[in-house]
Amino acid sequence: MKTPKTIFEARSIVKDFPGQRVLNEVDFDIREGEIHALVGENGAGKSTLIKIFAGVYRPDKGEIFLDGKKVEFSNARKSSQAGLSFIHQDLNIIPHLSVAENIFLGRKKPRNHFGLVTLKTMLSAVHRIPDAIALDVDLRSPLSRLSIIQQWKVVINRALVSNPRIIFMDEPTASLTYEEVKELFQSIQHLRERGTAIAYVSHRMNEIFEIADRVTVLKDGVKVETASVKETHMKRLFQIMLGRNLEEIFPPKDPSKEEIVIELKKWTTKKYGKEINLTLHKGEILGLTGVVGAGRTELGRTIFGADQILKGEIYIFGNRVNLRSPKDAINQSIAFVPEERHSEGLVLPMSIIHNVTLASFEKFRRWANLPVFHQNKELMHVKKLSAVIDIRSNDLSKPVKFLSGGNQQKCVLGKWLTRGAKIFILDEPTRGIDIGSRAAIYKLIVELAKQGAGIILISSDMHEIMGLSHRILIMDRGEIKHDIPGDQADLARIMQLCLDSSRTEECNEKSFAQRED
Amino acid sequence: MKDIIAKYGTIITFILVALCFIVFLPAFRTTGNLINILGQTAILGLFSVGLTCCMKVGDIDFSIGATGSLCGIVVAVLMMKGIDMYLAICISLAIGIVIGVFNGILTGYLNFDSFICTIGTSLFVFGIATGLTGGKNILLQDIFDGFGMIGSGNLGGIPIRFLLMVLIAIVIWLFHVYTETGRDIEAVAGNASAAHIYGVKVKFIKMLSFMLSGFCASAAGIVITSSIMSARAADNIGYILGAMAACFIGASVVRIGQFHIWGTLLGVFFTVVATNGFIIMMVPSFVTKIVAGTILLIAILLSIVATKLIKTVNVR
Repeated sequence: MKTPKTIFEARSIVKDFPGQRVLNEVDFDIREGEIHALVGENGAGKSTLIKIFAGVYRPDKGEIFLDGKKVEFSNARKSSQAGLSFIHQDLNIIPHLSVAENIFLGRKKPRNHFGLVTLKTMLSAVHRIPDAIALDVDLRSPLSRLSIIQQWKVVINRALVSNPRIIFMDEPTASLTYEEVKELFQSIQHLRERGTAIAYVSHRMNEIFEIADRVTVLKDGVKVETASVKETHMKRLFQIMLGRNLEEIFPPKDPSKEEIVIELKKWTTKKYGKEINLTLHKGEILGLTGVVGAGRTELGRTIFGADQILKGEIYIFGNRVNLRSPKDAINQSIAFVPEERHSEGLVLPMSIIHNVTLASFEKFRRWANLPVFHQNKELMHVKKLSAVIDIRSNDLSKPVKFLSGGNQQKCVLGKWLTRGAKIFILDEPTRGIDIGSRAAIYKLIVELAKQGAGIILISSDMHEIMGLSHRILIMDRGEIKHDIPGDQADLARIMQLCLDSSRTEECNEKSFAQRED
Repeated sequence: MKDIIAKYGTIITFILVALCFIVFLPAFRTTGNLINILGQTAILGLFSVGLTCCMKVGDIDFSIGATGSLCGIVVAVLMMKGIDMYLAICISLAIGIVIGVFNGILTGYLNFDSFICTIGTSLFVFGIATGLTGGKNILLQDIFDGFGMIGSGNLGGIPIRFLLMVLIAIVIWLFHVYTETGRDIEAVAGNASAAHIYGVKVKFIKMLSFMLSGFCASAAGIVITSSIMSARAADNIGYILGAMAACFIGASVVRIGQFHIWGTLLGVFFTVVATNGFIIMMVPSFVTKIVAGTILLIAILLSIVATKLIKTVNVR
């Protein structure tokens, strides 16, 4: 078979951010009409590379060639004129504007005889877009009324207005359901048939094997491999992507104790209205998994009092309690590490010290009865703690927003350790965190369990769930479907149980997917 | 280097401007004028310190001008009725706090947008103030000399109103930095939803900030009445704008993008010194207004540019 010719080529791209090389000598090329997937862990440099192609960042070194000619994209307009089109994860749409208006957003708008742009000229111009994807919606209706997949089609049509040769899609399937992914893939096939090449950024392996022609793996800013999808297989790519054997990073754990720390009876969340009964023992790590929308996060948040329940009872150390707010839960020594580290886990502009002591002011009082800080006491405590849990920063009074994801998460955990929490609800605790910090956090979680804490670990990462949990609960639409002892679990078995549940395909996909952004 | 310019650019500019005035304007560098400047910072300073508390937690308080006016009137009316000066001042301050509570309930507990609802409060309060005075000036007679000391007295040559402003600013600053509630305020300022997760009473913190703002506005109103020995209904829009400018100048210093008390004070001094210098240069008053507007715009620009600079320096 003849290899199609290369139309886009980036050679030895280097990009430095202060103190860190984000991309190191990365090569990437796109052939005519192919679908080329770009995969890698979070922080591998995928987005940075795409942003360099889009002209958002300038590379510190390296060259980009289009049809063999050297080009430089100093801004987004230049790359667009060269026939590159970018669809970002958030779609850049304006919800209250009509479909037609959104299609011509930021594009040259069609005019009538008087040189005016009207809805009418736009409506008729939509039909003249070459090879447009059929929308089956009223072009005058506001975009907010459309489903996400319809919005995607609108955005793809917007990309087609400028008749691009290459479309870059950043994490297109992150917010789509399985059926919608299928529909999106049809649109992508349609684009391929018209001869448009597509660069497809994702971290979902099975999607890549379904649609892509070639795949490039990035790891820590270095291109590890470019392979034809036909000539490689999934397991191999996983190993390259993670760079180490997963078994190595999970420390051995002690068996859990008899004593019950949390018991939920007929616990009913508002969103699902289904009853949940659950017990958590002392020293136990309870893995809670399932697909997106299974109700894991909702369960965690209601136990912490961050969301209200419909009905149900909670017993903590055998006592019936009422948790109306996070404050109540904190007083029952419950800790919560939220999924959204930036928007809920940390006060980003505040220093490491102040974040760590945020939930336990009264321990740092200068005088026992006055709410005034003993700042030296605070500093000494955080110094000691950061040595124990390995927060790496030369300056503890630095705002946490300047820390890496791993160090930030250690701050969140440090806050609860300071508080002396005995029950931990961890919602996706290692999402977006590099493998080194992840291992440190796993060690900390196991250590906490050894010391007698009860831990609920909510995660989509199957390896994490299997490597840490004493028991694994699989949830589906607000219900606990399966309760499996951790030592009897293996990937195939968990997957099989997911396959049995109703949203078969999506679960399958999730168990392969490493992370969501 | 970029870091230093971003953090200290505004302070350096202020020092340069002040140095220019000192070198080139003999009338500016007289002791009399410098003391005069101190006095002039008092009222704007009080308004600004209060507004900083609100802006810190992401809200704005447009009612400070009207609150100041009402409280200035209340203190005058009460004293005319023969009520003791200290009691009158306390009642007036209490009214300021009550207005703050009202704003706090609307924005904190009922989730109104502070921008809109404090404009509403402002009109409401201004209306009451007008009703109390009947639209006229209330003149305080000479028997209230003791009260006049607040606005025009000296202590060792330094205006009492200036000392008063500095005292209140320092107390609020200490409150922000050293107390647990102050730390809660910082947390709400940085990320209200995270603060909620950690057990901070976000709604109460918001209300408290409005109470502080109302208190400071009330103090400012009392100082105004005392320094001109008369009171009338006014919306004091000039002070609101000046205070906003001061806050934004403050947010462009050291802790970029965050409002803080001493930064705001720097902003107050910047505004007052610039205005004073221009008056001495005999620049017509409309030019002074244009300059004040320019300072506000530049201040906002500075805080944005500084934020960007810091970002490029610290980006991971």
